[in-house]
Amino acid sequence: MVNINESIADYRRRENAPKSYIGVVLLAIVLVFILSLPASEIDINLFEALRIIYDHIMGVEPSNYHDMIRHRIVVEQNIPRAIGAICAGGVLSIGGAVLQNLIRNPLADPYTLGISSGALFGMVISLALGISIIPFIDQMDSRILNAFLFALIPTGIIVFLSSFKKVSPTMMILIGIAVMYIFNAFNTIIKYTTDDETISQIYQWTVGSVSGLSWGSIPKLVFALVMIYIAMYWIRNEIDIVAQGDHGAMTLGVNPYRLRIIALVFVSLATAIIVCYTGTIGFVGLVAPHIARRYFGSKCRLLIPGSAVIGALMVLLSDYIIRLITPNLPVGVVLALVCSPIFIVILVRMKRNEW
Amino acid sequence: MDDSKFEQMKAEYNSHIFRKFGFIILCIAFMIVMIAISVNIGGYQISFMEVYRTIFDHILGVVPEEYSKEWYDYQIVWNNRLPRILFAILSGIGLAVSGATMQSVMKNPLAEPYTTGVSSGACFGVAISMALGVSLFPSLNMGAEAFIMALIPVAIIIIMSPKLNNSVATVILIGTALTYMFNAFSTFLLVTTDSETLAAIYKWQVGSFSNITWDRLAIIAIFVIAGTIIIEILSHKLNIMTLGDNAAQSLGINVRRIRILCLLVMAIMVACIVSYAGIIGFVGLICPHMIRLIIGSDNRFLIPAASAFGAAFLLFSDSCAKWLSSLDMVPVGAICGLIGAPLFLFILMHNRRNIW
Repeated sequence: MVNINESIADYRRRENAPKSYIGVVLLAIVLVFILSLPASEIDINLFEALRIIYDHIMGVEPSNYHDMIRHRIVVEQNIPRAIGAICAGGVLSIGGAVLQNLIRNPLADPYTLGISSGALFGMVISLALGISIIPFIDQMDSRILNAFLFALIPTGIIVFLSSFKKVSPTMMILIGIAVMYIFNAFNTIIKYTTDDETISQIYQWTVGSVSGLSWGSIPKLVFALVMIYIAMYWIRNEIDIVAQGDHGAMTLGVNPYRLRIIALVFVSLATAIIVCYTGTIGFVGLVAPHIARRYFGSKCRLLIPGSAVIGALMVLLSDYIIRLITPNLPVGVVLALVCSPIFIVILVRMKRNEW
Repeated sequence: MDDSKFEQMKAEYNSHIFRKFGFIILCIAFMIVMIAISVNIGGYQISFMEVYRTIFDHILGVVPEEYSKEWYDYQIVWNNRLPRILFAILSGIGLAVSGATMQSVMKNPLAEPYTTGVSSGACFGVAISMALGVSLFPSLNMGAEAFIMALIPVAIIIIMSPKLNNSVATVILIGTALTYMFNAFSTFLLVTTDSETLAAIYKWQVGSFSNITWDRLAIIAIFVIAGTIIIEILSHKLNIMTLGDNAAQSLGINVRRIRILCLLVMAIMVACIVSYAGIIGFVGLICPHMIRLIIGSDNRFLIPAASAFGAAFLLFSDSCAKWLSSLDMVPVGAICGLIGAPLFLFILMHNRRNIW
């Protein structure tokens, strides 16, 4: 039987092909990361940027004013910004991919859980009303902490209510959306009555941007990415089983309700960390998983790393484009402008249907 | 089958249908009561009886003397309060019906009227005219411009649809991508503009029923009522379509054509509402779910029930908003969320039915 060996080889080839795609995207990320190092308003070329980083690692202090400015831009602005973009893209797309599979709905993304509106509410009450949940910390910290804590409330309510009743996954999401509307209502009322300047500030935050990130916030962002990746990769097989239907999952010994709650908690924790530093970067959490599905299929073993790298590349690239054109544009805008035509083209050309 | 069992089943079925009709009638009754209450709510105090006398006088053709007290009463009641009430009702009908249809047609509980990109298109139109001061259609007012811009994303979807594979998910994802794209256009304008313009556009976006006149109302009424009737006529076909595309096709339904037709009707209906009322959320997404939880997902009853419930709900919310602040400081969309979301959670937790 020669055929069996051939078909096994064929199967292996098909299974392993997507893995090399992941490698390609990873390479692209590294490339964009390096290219984006010198990108700023000041004219710095790539070698200069690399030399600055080398000097920084070797502990050579910048000697004059000219060098100091360049040092500051490359080391203290561009690098954290790029790492932040990668983390944000990765976390949001992993969250989106997992939720889409677990809820069995192509429209799900991490913000469908109400995280964004909760975070925005925490932000808004700190900015417009000066309320801080944890007293005696300075304003910037209180904003971030407020956003983080309120971002977790909708998920808390989902978990609380589904402990009383076995709700279907869709109903779970709808609970999140209902809570989102309550927070949005408060946000709207506060925004509606506050002054124009504050509205504009809040608006900037709503759109989402990675420009304000500094080294201080990077460990938390990286932690969020590592946490969600490990947690989701750990339960990848269970997610695949539940994605096929609750009854089947139960006969295979997986408790779909518990799995959903676990996944929900991890996704919202990681997303909340990202959101409170970057604001609500939309689009990537919904679209990156769909693009990943096109090339890696819907099985979590490849879908999770696949959407992570694609999402990271999307955000990083958008941020790079912003830095090349104009520094003050929020990343969410460019993300949607650049990636939605690509997404539409992919959808139109898609013969196979993953849903 | 013996007769008594048959009779019993018939009685059961009748009581089932009767429950659904009962719900619709209850909603309509509530709406009428709310109309009666709502004409009395407003910044300018007019006594309870006076309001109705003014309305009857107008219907009977009695014209009050100009600039007298009666004349002011008449202006406020007839030209301010009544159009607003009717507009709230029409918007409720339009949004809830399109939400219910969208969910049925796209087979997705997270679909809402705005998933087609109507709202973001309209918002982009308003952002262009307000932030850049450029009018794409100089002869038209801002509402008409928003209306035309609102239809552009849907037009793109419809033009592209022959090229797509047969899946609903693709249509809905294209709608979402277009929503994001147009939102990005308007965000681009909003971020670069000054904070005053941003606040003005923001206030448009939040939505209000206050700026409405009788002639605009007439146009909206025609579109909304015609759209609702068309969808109600199609409702039994929508029921069949829930079996899946293949089954529906083998039963002789052109799934693709019905989907496009529904999309078009919905888009026109919602574009009308959005271009004058701004973007009012909640009603389109959550109200259909509440009704599904109460009376089930049969589209023949869902569509009329959605129109009755949506109208009553939005009118109630708008009355609350008016009552809280006569100067329009409380946006109606916020009240919808505040009243509706707890109601939805309550219905959800007290219901055995699992609808999706």
